[in-house]
Amino acid sequence: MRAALSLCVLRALAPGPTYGYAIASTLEAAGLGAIKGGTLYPLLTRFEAAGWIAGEWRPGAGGPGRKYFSLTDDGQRELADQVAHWQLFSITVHDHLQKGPVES
Amino acid sequence: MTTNPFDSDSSAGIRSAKMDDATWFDEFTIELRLLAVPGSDIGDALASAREFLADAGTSAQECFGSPRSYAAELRLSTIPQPAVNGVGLRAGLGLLGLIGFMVSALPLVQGAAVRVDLPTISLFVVVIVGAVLMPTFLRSLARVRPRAWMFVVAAVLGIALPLGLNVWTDFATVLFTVSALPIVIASALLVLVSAIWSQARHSLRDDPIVAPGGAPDARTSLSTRLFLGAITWSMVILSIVIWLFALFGEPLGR
Repeated sequence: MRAALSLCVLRALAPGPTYGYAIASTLEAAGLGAIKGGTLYPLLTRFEAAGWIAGEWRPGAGGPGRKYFSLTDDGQRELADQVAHWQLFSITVHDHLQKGPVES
Repeated sequence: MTTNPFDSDSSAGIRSAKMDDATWFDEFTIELRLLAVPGSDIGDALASAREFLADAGTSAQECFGSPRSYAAELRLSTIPQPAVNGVGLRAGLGLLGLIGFMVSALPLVQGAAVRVDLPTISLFVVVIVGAVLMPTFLRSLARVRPRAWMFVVAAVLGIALPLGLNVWTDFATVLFTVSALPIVIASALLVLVSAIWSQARHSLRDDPIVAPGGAPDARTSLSTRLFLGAITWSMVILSIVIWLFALFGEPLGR
């Protein structure tokens, strides 16, 4: 499930730079439940360390600033790879669920 | 807030009422410091958490779980730590010097030799073992929330241990004697080297927490500087107290 969340977070960043709570809201709106900060930020930190995303602080209007995250070129490639793997995996699982075990 | 199907720490919300956000951020900062995360990354993590909380409207405990587990899960880059723990080494050296003064100051004033017995040797061994265990001890101590009874226990131990040692020394057999002057000189070196080393480290190796886009404070607050100064020079101050007692304690006692 963590791998699926990781992929969904990367996908949420695909349209353009966005910030932590907006990512969590996008995922919740997609039916993935409320993502807590304690789940989201360790993923974002890992992506940043891997060079898949870049963070940039922008000043807030009266409130605290926001850290915007955006996919890097490596991140775009990683997203494409993970989407391809996920689709292959989901087709395999779907086929298995439809057909049942192969008799030898 | 609905249940997050991906979040394994769903019990975090149960504990939320027990810790306010200010305490959570204090403990989170301590945990990141204990993990040796650089000050700039700590500032970033703190600001990110505050930003998320401002939008989420929940408590920090509910949103991020325990400060300790969240700090660990972030897996932020850390500052490489030296093989020898400087804090423990400096504290150990200073304490050895202080005990050296305790056993040698009065004999030097009285023109006598230092009598080495089992309690004295035990004390030195305990200090050396304490210095070796200092890093582990400090990590545990940093996570403890101060309670009134702890100060009472510390005060009782602070009075009872020297008194007990004194009684033990009165009944202990002298194993051998040593001239007081070399011990006084060695103790003075240990206390001064420890204090100067600590002072230099505070001045040269500070790693302030920097908020994103901000600059570290050019000057720390007066209270912080006084506190650091008192800690750094505490062994020197206590050594002066020991010497005052050695020089003037006996006439006062008459």
